[in-house]
Amino acid sequence: MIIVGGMSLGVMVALSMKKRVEELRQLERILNYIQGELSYKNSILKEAFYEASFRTKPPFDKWLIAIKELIEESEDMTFFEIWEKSLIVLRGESHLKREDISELMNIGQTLGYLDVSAQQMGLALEKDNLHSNIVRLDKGLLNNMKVAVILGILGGIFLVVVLV
Amino acid sequence: MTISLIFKIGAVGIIVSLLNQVLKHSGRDDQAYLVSLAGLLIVLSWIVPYVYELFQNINALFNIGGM
Repeated sequence: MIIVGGMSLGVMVALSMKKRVEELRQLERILNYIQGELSYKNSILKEAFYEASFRTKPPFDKWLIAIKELIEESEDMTFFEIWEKSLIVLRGESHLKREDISELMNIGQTLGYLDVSAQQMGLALEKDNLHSNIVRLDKGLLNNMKVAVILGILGGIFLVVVLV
Repeated sequence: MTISLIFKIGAVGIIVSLLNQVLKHSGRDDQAYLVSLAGLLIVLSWIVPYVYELFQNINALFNIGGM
């Protein structure tokens, strides 16, 4: 039972790693879409997020709708404050790590500030950072998943030996 | 000291060395070091009572002999 528990823990960690990379890819697609909305449709941010929410899977769809609603409700908050508040919710519902969330904070500093071209440049820079992060994580993903499962099994066996 | 303790120490040694190899291979040297340290501490915690008993017995033997 303990060995099975250890193995399950290893498999869960491995799946969480995989989910993290998938969510980062989804985030990249969202940024592409928002950039497109700002560039070609000249949408306002609120509408851009709302339109993007229909083209994403959970948990990002709820997050984008939450941002849109926060923009509508909060008249005295800056966009960065709204963005920060929404990220707290996303952190709890996604498999993203602290460093991913802090990268998203940087995006919040770019959006809703200065003119559209400055925002687009900022978005392009953050997209590049995100893309290089995804490539780096994807490279070692299979290896890290195998390590997680093996560590789980060996940890379970170790516990059995120590406890019995 | 039962024979099962010797087997347990052997099993811990094998598992710790396997974990060490896996962790070092994936570039986690500091975690490999911590695992080795943990294995060592666990085995010492099993051995130390017997070593203490040995010293007590030797002490008792020499005390009786000295009398």
